[in-house]
Amino acid sequence: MAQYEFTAEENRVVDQVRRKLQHIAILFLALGALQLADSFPLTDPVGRWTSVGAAILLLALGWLFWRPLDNFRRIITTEGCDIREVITALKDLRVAYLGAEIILVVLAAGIIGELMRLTTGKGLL
Amino acid sequence: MQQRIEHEFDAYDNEALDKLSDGVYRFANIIGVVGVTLLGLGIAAMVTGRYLSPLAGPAIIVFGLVAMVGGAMFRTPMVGFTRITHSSGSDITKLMSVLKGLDSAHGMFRALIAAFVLARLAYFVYVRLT
Repeated sequence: MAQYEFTAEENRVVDQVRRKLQHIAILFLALGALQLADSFPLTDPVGRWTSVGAAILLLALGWLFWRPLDNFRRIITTEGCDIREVITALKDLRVAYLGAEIILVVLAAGIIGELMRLTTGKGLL
Repeated sequence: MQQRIEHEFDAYDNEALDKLSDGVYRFANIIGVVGVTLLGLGIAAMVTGRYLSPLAGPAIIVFGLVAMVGGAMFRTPMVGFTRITHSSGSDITKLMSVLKGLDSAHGMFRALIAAFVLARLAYFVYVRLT
């Protein structure tokens, strides 16, 4: 069976998805870089390593969102393997969502801690 | 005119799409939870007035609402992926529809992350200037 080839209109949709994912990846990488730059001046070792850990997590997330970009680009620029490329890209995207879930859970916990600090004067710890 | 024959995803592809649908479902829920917690934090900030800027509370509430809308937007592609795997015919048309929905949701997610990057950058500059 011949491989299905996306039409120009379908390629345009794929390219739009790719561009937004690229922006998301760059934003996560920027967030990670800012977090990393903020880690070094910290004098408390626990705070510093927690901050470095958060930075690494954010940088990893940027990388995870970057991974499917190559497959999405290949759908547009090459011929013959569009279905295989789209499935690989969507699998990579699932891993990126999983990484983002972890970050968002940590973020939600941090927000709840801040909420407790604001309302009761005590945090989670 | 020759009619274009659409590709039908096989069991292996459908399994990958099903797993992605589950992933999107969890992701949408967690974004929603973050939105609700931000909403609570914004309200608490306004009520207690413990943040220096009076704009902090309303800004956090806006972040929360954007996150909640973003979470809801991820539900549309999630349903679309399930529709591809549980029916036959027009798989590519359905996939394109899902990708369009995913693109809109990513736009909202990008706005949310951009707001966090700006807030983080402002804090970074503020700390170094004071």
